[in-house]
Amino acid sequence: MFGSTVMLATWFVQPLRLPSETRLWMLLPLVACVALVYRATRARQVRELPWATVRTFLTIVFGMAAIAAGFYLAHLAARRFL
Amino acid sequence: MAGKRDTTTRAVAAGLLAWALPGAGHLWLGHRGLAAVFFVAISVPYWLGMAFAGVLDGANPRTNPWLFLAEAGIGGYTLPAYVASQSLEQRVLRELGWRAAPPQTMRDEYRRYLEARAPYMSFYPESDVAQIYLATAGLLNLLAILDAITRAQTGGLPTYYRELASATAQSTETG
Repeated sequence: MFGSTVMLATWFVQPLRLPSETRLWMLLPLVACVALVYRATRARQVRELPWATVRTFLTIVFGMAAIAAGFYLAHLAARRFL
Repeated sequence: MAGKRDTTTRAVAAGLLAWALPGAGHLWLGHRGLAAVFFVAISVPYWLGMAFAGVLDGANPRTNPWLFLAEAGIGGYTLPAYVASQSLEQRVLRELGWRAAPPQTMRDEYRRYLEARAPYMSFYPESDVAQIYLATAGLLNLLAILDAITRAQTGGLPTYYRELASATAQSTETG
């Protein structure tokens, strides 16, 4: 018990390291949490949540990917024509 | 009149509980499933963000006041984290034999101070991820607090259904 408490405290005292290639993937759990909380504020009961959350999750992820693709294309265009 | 006072008391209590612990306001109102959802969906990003940030700068209003303000949306988590942060700051200063952090103008002392702090500090890319996670969790809990208050006032209906009901009533009156 004491050992696990010390280990838990160490996690928060010395920051965890994150491999740089995993940085982008950290978006997905956060989007899942945002989608879940947003849908929970509009639901009467928990059973309404799963599909609504999945739809919101996909909307946010694909929406952000589309925005990123748009900026990337604008960047390529700027490099070529400016 | 007494009913309105009861509703206000319930709304204030639900809001305060939700501020102290994500989901606690909903649990108090009897929405056990929603309480579990809010607890998990807000606590996971908060503590993951704190683990990436480290408590020293993760809940420190001196080094990042705007982040601290966003985190304050979860009082029950951020207050203990703030106490831990100040305690760690004091430990670093004690190790250096100082009582307070030196100003940046004292360049050598300030460099020693930063070197002593470095093992407890988060750097890119973890610091970016940590700030986004912590700020998002704090702001998501504001949504949860408002939802708990609304459900306390409406007997369990979320804001969306309350708006829907008032819009329907308005269209019935005008129609």
